[in-house]
This record gives sequence, structure tokens and C-alpha cells, in this order.
Amino acid sequence: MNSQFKKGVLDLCVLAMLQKGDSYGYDLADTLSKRIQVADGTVYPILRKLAGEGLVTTYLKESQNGPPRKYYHLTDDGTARLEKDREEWKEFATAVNGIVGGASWLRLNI
Amino acid sequence: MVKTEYLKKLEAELGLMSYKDVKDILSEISDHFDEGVRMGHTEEEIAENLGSPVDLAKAYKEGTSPLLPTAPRKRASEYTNVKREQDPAAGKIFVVIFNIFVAIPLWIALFFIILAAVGIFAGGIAGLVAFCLAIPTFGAYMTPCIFLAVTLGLILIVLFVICFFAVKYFIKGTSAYIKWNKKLWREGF
Repeated sequence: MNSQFKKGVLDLCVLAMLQKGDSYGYDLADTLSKRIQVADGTVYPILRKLAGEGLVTTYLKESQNGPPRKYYHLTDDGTARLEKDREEWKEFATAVNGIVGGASWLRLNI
Repeated sequence: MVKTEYLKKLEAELGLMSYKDVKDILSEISDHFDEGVRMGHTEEEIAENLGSPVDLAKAYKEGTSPLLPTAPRKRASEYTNVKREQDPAAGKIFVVIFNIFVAIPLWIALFFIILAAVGIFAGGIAGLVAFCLAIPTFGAYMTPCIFLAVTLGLILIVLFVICFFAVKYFIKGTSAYIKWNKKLWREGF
């Protein structure tokens, strides 16, 4: 898939994944790369950037097998950003679908 | 490529970054390797799936650079958003009054007009079927009757197309209108 497409929305994807619950890097990388064709490493620079902006925080949590894991948690600012970006994304995606759409004259856009 | 090799390359590529940043990044990626090994993958596999260390370092460096300036259009929309949020109560009042006095009566009228059109179409079909069944009994008038039936059929096809689009846009319009209302309700003017 065109990498320019992905660039902008991956932040949103990471925020959305964290809204479902705190998680650690490997798990996020695994989940994301299973659903979107990206390298496993993609998620780490994003997490670091989000942490730098105060949208996520990190803490260490014991794991059953192995050393403690670094968990990521969505902050209130992160939630606010997520809600805002999600709305913008939906509007944008609808508009793009309306333009690119293809043979959609039979489809009821409801 | 194994873990130590990968980390070394990544460190080299990160270049000008504070010692702490580099240490944090390397420890994060190192953890990723350890976790992957515990999940039963080989270091080679994990390194390959991570993507090249050059790309990863580039992504890290881009992430720490100052944010790109926002395009003017975006700023304008943000500005109107802020302005809009000033008076959500007016939006609610407008939605209620507009719906009671204008939108809902109009919607009901439109609904019945379309219902009537669909009804006329259905009646036409029934009439045409009955007429066709009766054609054999007309004897000498059979030929003009067949022409009449064909004409009626064509009219019904036109009516069907009109009904189809009327229903389609009615549903589309209604859903768009509901969305617009919700937006007004939430954000006001």
C-alpha cells in the first residue's frame, strides 16, 4: 500500500488501540502490523513522539514470563486528540470515498 | 541480522541525538527482540519484520523534529470551530423549532408524495397485468390493445425510475439531514 497514505493515520491508529486499554510496545507493534501492512518497527517512533507530546505516558509493569514491560497509557490529552482526529478522519474518509468511490450510484450512503 | 548487529546499526543511524534518547530507543527495540524471542521467533525473523534500521532511525528523527506548520485552510477551519462552540444552546433551540415547524411537516409531506407515487406505480402494474390477461378476449380490437399495453408498460418503467431515485434521495437526504441536526445539536452555530 502507498506509504504516503499510512503516514498520517498511524498516529490515530496507535491512539485508538491504546483507548482499548494500556499495552506494551511488542503487542502494539504486533497488532498494528497484523492489520496494516507496516514494518513492526513503525510503532516505536510513533509512541515516542506521542509520549513527547504528552498524549501517552509510560510505566513499568511486571510480566509473568520475563522482565517488567514498559506499558503505554493514553492520557486525557491523548483521548481529546483521539476524539478530534477521529472525527476529522471520518469526515475526510467520507469525502475521499465520495470522490474516488467508483460505481456507487446504487449505494445508499447511510 | 541478529539483535546486537541491528542495535549497533540503529545506534549509528540515529546520529546526533542526546545520549538519553539513544539509550531509551535502543532499550525499547532491545525489549522488542527479547519479547519476540520469548514468543518463539528467531532474532533474524524479528530483525526482518522490524524493517531496516536506517528507516527506523529516520522515523525516530522525523518524530523529534518540530511539527510542520499547519496549512492556512486548516487554521481557518479550526477558527470557525472555536467560534461555533461558543453558543451550543442556540443550536439546540434552532434544531427544535426548525424541526417542529418546518422540517418534520415537510418531511411528512414528501413522504406521502413518494408513497403516493409508489402506490400509483403498484396500481399501474396491477392494472397492466389485468389488462394483459384480458387482451385475448378483445377479439378484433386485439392489435390496438397490445399497443396500448406496451405504451402503458413504458410509462410504468419511467415511473419506476422516478420512484427509485425519489426513494433513494429521500433516504439519503433524510440521513444527511439527521447528521446535520446532530452536528448542530452538539456544536451549536
